[in-house]
Amino acid sequence: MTFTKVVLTLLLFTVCLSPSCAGRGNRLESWETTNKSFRVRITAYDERGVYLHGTYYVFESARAGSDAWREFMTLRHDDRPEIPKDQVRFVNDNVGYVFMGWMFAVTTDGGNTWSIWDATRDVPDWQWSKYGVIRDVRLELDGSGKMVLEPVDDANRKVPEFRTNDFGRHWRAD
Amino acid sequence: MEIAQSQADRYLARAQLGAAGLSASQIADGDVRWGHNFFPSLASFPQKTYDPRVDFRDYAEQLSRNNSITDCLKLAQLIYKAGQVFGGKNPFEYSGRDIIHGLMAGLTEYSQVNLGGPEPSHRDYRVGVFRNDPHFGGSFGASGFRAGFVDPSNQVRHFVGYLGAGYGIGATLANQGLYSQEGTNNPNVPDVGLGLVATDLGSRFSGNYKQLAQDVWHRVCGQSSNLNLP
Repeated sequence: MTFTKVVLTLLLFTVCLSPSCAGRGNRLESWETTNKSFRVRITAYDERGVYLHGTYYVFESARAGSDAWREFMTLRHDDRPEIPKDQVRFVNDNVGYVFMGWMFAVTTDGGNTWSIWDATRDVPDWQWSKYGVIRDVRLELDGSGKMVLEPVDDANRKVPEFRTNDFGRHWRAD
Repeated sequence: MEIAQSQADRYLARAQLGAAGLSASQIADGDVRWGHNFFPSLASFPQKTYDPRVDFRDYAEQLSRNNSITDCLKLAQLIYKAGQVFGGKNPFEYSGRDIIHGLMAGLTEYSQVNLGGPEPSHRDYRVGVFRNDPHFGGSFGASGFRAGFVDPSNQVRHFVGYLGAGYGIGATLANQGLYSQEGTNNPNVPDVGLGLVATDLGSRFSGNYKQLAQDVWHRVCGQSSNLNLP
């Protein structure tokens, strides 16, 4: 019995924590909203196969009145922040956007396609100690918009803002 | 009977030291010094009901809601507090195991890690781990940590988790788990760099919590001065 537990622990610490073993575990909670054209759903899943559990946030969309959900973005967080219900926004019937942490997604065709912006991937010199997480995003009907960041290490540190002219498909540091 | 009295004395001493660790006014003022009111009135500490887990939890929850000091300083203070309430009754009777277990149980989803596997912590005694826990508090973040250890998550939990892993199963094995969990062994990744310091400190911890608090202050918070500890 003890030998088995030792082997299991070794597996947990050396093998089972590999990306192939880790992944989505139990569904924790779900929340959705809609406009006239499309629905957006966010589901939080526990992370399995890791020592310190994180949380997966799966973002999906479907046409209004349909249950044909399609996943368009997944964010894995080390902790378990609340589902960001106030960070799913509709500009009009076809344009909507979501943001959480360091990721942003926008659709301009009623949820059929989404453009994903991941700050850690899409900002060339990304460092947490230079930038931060997304605090707010504002998009206008003409496609212009502004993204405000929030530092994670020093609330008084000044962080760059980002601007877009194409509904958030591309952002540039201001 | 002697044993029972000794245990009572031990709890009482912990209560005194715990209360002296950081008063509410010190927290509110952001004062990092200790030593004021070091032996407060005994009447305020009922011997029979003192529970070090509650003492540590309440302290951690109070700290988690304090926005006037950084999360890294909170980490150092929590280590000091854990030493006071879970350690030995005098500086010559440090109990590294109890301190690590107390830290983990209060700040992570585990109470210990050993070759028998991680043991889950109790939701009533941990702070900042799961939002639906009764004492989640204000949680912790990454403020005050060295720039290379910053990411948008609870780095107090991350540090303590790997401190306990290093203590329980050694740095080599704990580091393998760290690399696997993070998908890289690149120390420039904040969680990896922080985890490596944590497993190193954990693997060498023998109960000297004052030294551990100073080591965290220097190596994790990046401070060159010493914390002013009693």
